[in-house]
Amino acid sequence: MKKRCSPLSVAAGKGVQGACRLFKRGHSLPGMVVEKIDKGFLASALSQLPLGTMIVCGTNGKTTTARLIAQALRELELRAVTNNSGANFTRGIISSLLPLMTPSGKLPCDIGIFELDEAWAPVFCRQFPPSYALILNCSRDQLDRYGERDSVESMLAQVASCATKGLILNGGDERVKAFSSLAKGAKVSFYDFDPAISPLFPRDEDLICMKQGSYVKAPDGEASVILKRAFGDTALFEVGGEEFSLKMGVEGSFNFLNAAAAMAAILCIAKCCPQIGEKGRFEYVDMSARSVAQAVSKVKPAFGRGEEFHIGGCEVKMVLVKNPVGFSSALRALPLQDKDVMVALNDESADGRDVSWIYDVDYSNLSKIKAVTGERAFDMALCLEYNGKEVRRADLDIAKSLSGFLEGQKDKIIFSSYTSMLSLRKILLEMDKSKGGDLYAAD
Amino acid sequence: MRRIDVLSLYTNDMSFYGDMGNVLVVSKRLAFYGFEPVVHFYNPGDVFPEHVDMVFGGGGQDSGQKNIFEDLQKRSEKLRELASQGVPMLMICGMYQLFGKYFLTNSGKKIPGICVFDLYTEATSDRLIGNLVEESSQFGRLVGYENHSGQTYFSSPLRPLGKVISGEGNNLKDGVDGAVVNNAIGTYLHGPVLSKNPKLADFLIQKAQLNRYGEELLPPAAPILRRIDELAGKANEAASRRPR
Repeated sequence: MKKRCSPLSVAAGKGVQGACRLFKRGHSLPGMVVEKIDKGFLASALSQLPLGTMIVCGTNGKTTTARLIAQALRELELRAVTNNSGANFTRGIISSLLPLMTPSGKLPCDIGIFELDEAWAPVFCRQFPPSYALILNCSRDQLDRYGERDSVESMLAQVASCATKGLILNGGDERVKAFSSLAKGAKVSFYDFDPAISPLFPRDEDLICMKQGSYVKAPDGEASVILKRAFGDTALFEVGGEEFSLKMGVEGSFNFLNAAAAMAAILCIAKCCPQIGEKGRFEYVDMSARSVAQAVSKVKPAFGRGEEFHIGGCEVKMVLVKNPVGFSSALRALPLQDKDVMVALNDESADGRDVSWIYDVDYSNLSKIKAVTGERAFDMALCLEYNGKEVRRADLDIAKSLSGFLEGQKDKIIFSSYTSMLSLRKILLEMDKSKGGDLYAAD
Repeated sequence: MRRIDVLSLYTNDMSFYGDMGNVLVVSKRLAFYGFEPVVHFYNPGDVFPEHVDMVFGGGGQDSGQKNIFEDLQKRSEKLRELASQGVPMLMICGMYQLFGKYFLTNSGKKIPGICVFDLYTEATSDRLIGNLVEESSQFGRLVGYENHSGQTYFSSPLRPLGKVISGEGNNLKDGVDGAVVNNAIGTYLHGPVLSKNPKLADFLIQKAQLNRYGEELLPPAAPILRRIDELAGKANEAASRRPR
């Protein structure tokens, strides 16, 4: 089964990667080159992973959750490899494997944790059926790309049906929960949240109902991991019947639920891999509920997803928001009192060209907004004003807005769409001396 | 305070593309003009409100259209009656289609509409997606976003809402978007359309006022409306310059 990759392809890929780094160019170019000259490369590379691969998919939380799983596995002394966020599909994954490969074509890793977007995931999974699939949620996002949420749902269903060993599902999202019937021999496990905290996890339907004055409660689930409570930076989890109260490295209840997903995913791996705990390479790996929960709790946020910068004595937090559920959850979960708030909205194709969705966000936790920026700043400001929220300044120019916004001594929080986040982050990194200007510092 | 009753049709199923924002915009503007907006959310099986001054409907997924079309048939007579009385209506995308005669699905099935507009829609395999800019003699430049696989054709000569400047609108042939019959307006513009096109919002409010209180001119507005309309103008300008 285990096949080494051709040393020639590895050398070519590493060469292109070196050149790309030198010229600060594209992440997936090396993967593209390798794919061209060696079609079997990825299959040989993935076949070397003794614990297999896991695909992380869903509308919100892919990057953070994939990171939570991979970092926690490393904490548990497994060698986990991941793809960079946004470096999707085969070429992105090849590019992320290349730096770890030995010149002889060996991949000295135990498991691959790959996040894939909803469109690429089914294509990838048909070509390389993953050992595990973790599906986080299904809500409306980038309808200009996907047309309807129903088509996203069927893409996720295909991913669920491809998993060979384990399928991990969000029991609190009824569309995702229903995928359990699609498992073909894979063990199914769920994670969930306690119904008492369901207002922290609104779904599309809840946002629409809430605006009409009613609210649909989340259903119960039979789950291996349950997020029971969230207080500030501490979360209470029930993991395999035991309760753990943990101070979390990531912030916000939506990320605590991602942590529950990560714990369930790792426990599922433990259940499906008889090698773990047996004599040999995995003899001393401890995947008990306690050590898994603790390992996940220590992980810090991924870049742009609650990442913090320190500028002029203030803390500046960057939160990526790209759809009604994600934005509403962030506003419900993060402390906003005594903070200056900025919202940045771009409409590049990576953000979604259609910005109509901002009208379905629940803004009730916001009060004043100090600055609004991005290509669709005026749309955003107008929407906030119609929602009764005062906007002090709206400006299309991101750099100019940011410099005005950073004045003053209050801590700051920025909610931003994807491409505006990249622009803002670049400036913030230059200003934050502690990060040393490395664009991928938090990755 | 003078009350205006606003009906939001099938919000659970037919507000998947932000069109509930139209109800927000119009109720806020009503309040700025000194009216008391009362919004009735109507979903399948609900009691139909006794008095209705304005009616709104939005876009949904195909599955959403399937969920509501039977109930819509039960309300078709009432809604046609309101339309013929000149009640202002704004129907976007999926509800615009169902306010026509029928929607012909890919499998050849005809989903009946309620015939407020003399037009029909055919499902196609190419989805028309992108920014949509059009010129209306009555409302000026209208901007928004279209996202539909059905293409709509007039059965008899109707007045379109606007002439398409960029994007597609009703279909790939006619170069127009939407339809206006009496005070009922149908369009493919999401956005939500009223946010960046306040003249259209005020037209609907004006007609509602005229019908209920017999007055033509809108009362003076709260000062905040000037600021909002200035933002709307800038948003319209910025959006109309964005790529498809």
